Amino acid sequence: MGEWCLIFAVIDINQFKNLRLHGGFLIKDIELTDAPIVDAIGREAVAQTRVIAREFRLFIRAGLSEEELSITLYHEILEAASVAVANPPDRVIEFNEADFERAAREAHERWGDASPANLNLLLQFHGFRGQ
Amino acid sequence: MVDRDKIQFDLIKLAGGGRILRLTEPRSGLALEKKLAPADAVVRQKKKLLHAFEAALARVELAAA
Repeated sequence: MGEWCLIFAVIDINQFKNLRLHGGFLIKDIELTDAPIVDAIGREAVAQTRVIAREFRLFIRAGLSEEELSITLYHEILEAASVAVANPPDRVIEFNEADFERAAREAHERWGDASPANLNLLLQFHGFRGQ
Repeated sequence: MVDRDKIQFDLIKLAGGGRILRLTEPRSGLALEKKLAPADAVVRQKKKLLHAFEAALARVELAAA
């Protein structure tokens, strides 16, 4: 066997489109993009999540490993949910960026790759209630 | 002129590290953003930014009246 190893994300992001989540959230759209995500002043991003009320639209840079994509999904959804509501659960109200990243990594270790069911587990675990 | 129910929150993870929170009101085009302080609670920073943004929106409405 050669020394080269190509790793592609095998998480099917289509399963997250128009997905209703615990807490009354909706992933309206999600896109993996090969094009650089660059804003008006030239800053490059690896992920962007737009929150309007309880709807989320995610743009994520393509080329992440399966693990990186999974952790990114957990992170983006938990942080977006925390920003979307006026009064987030006590478990996340003091979370800084590192806390969200840690929670995402723990979710990946605990439940495996991000999936619709696992994103709901994440939200429930951190105190988001209701449909 | 402005529609508070349509305020967009963009969470942007920068390639060089760090996170930006940007608020936009589409009708007026008004936007306000801040690079989040990594050690501070995200929710608290969002509430402060939203407070400042709503004050700016009120000034826009007043100016348009």
